[in-house]
Amino acid sequence: MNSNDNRPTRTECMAARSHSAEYLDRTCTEANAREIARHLSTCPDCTAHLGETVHLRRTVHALPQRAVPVNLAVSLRVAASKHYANRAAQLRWRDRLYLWNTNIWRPIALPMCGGLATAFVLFAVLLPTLAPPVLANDDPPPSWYQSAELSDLGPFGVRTDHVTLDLILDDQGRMVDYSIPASETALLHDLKLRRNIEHNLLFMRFKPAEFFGQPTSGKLRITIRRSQVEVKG
Amino acid sequence: MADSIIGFGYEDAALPARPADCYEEDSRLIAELKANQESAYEVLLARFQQPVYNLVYRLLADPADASDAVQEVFLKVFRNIESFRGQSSLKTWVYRIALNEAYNHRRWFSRHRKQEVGLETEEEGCRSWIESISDPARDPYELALNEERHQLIEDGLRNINPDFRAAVVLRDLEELSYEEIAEVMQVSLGTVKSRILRGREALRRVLLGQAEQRSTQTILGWMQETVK
Repeated sequence: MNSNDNRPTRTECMAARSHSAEYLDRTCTEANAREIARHLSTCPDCTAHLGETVHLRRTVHALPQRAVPVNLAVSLRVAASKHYANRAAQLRWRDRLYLWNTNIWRPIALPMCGGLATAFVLFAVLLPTLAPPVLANDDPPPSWYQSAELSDLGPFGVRTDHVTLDLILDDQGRMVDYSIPASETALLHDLKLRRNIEHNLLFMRFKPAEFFGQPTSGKLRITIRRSQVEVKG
Repeated sequence: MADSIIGFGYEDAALPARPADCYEEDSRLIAELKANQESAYEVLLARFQQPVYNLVYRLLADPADASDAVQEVFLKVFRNIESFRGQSSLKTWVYRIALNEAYNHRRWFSRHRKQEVGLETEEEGCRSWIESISDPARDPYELALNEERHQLIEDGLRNINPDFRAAVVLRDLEELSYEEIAEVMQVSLGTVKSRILRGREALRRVLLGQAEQRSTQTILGWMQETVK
C-alpha cells in the first residue's frame, strides 16, 4: 500500500483479485482473508469487482436444474436392468463352475494327477531307448534306400559314342538282365555293338542297392560314352 | 470494518456440510452394487442421474448429446463398479467418469459433427414452453427475465474454455469442494483454484461483452424507430 495517500497499489489489487475465488469460497488462509478484507476496505474498484463476482456466482448457482429427459431415464433403467441380469448370469455361471469343481473335478483330481505323474516318469525312463542310434563312420548311412553304384568298369572299350542301358542287379551287385530303351535304335539293330556291350557288362562290377543298410536287388540306368560312364539308380 | 468485510459474500459461500453418514451410505451402496443387488442400481440412478445430467449438459458444446453421454457414463459406472477401490468418494468417481465422457464427446463432436445440420428446432432436454409457464405464482415478466438471464449465463458458460467451465460448474453449480474438484479433474489444488478464478473471470468478461452488445443493439433499434 502506498504510504503517502493510503491508496492501494496495482500490485495489491492484482494480489487481492488473484485470491478472490479462494476468498469467496472460504478456502484461503485466515491471514490472506484479513489481507484481502483490509485491501477491500480501501479499494472501491476491487470491492466492485468482487461484488460482481459474488453476483455472478449467485446467478450461476441459481441456474435451474435441467430435467432428465424421460427417454434417458427409461434408457438408464433398462441399461441397469440389463447389466444386473448379465451380472446375475455371470454369478450363476460362477456357481456352476464351483459345483463342477466340487463334484466332478475333485474326485478325479488325485487319480488324474497320479496318472500324469506316472506317464511322465515312464516317458522319461523310456525316452533314451527311443532315441536313434549314433552311427560310427564306417556304418552305412541310415537312410531309407541307397541306389546301386558302379564300382568297376570292364576292361574293354565300347565302340560307340553314346549308348544308354537299363540294368537289373541282384543283391550281390551282379547284373541279372538288361534292356535297351526304345530310343537306342542303333543298338537295337547293330548286333556287333550289342555283343561288345554285353562283353563289357559281364566284367563290370556294381555295388548293390541297400534298403536300411541291407543289400537288395535294384535297377540301374547307365549311359556309356566314349569318354565317361553316367550311372542313374 | 475489516471483520465485516471478511464476511463479504460468505453468506452464500458456505456449502452444505457433507454428513458423516454419507460416506457410510456410499460404502453400503458400493458394496450392494458389487454384490449385484437390484435395488442398489435404483438408488444409484436416483442419486446421480440428475446431477450427472446437469453436469454433462453444461459441459458439452451441444446439449443435445447430453443424453447419449449420460448413458455412456452410467454404463461405465455399472461396468467398472467392481474395480472401484473406494480411494475417492463415489460422487467424485462418478463425476470424474462424467467429466471424461464429456471431454470424449466434445472431442468426437469437434472431429465429426461440425459439418452436420440438425433438423430438430428444439434441442432435446431443453425445457418446453409448458415447463416455462408452469409456475403460476410468479410474475410472467420476472419469469421471462429470469429465463433470459439463465440463457445468457448458459451461453456464457459455453463460450469459455472447457477446463475453466468444468471447474466453475463443479464449484458453483454442483457445489463440490476444491479437493473434490481436484479429484474429479485429476489436477492439483492450485490448478483448481486457478481454473475457478480464471473461469469466473472469463465468464464475467463474456457476459459483459454480451451485455454491451445487447445495449448497442437496443440503442440501434431505438434509433431506427426514431428515424421512422
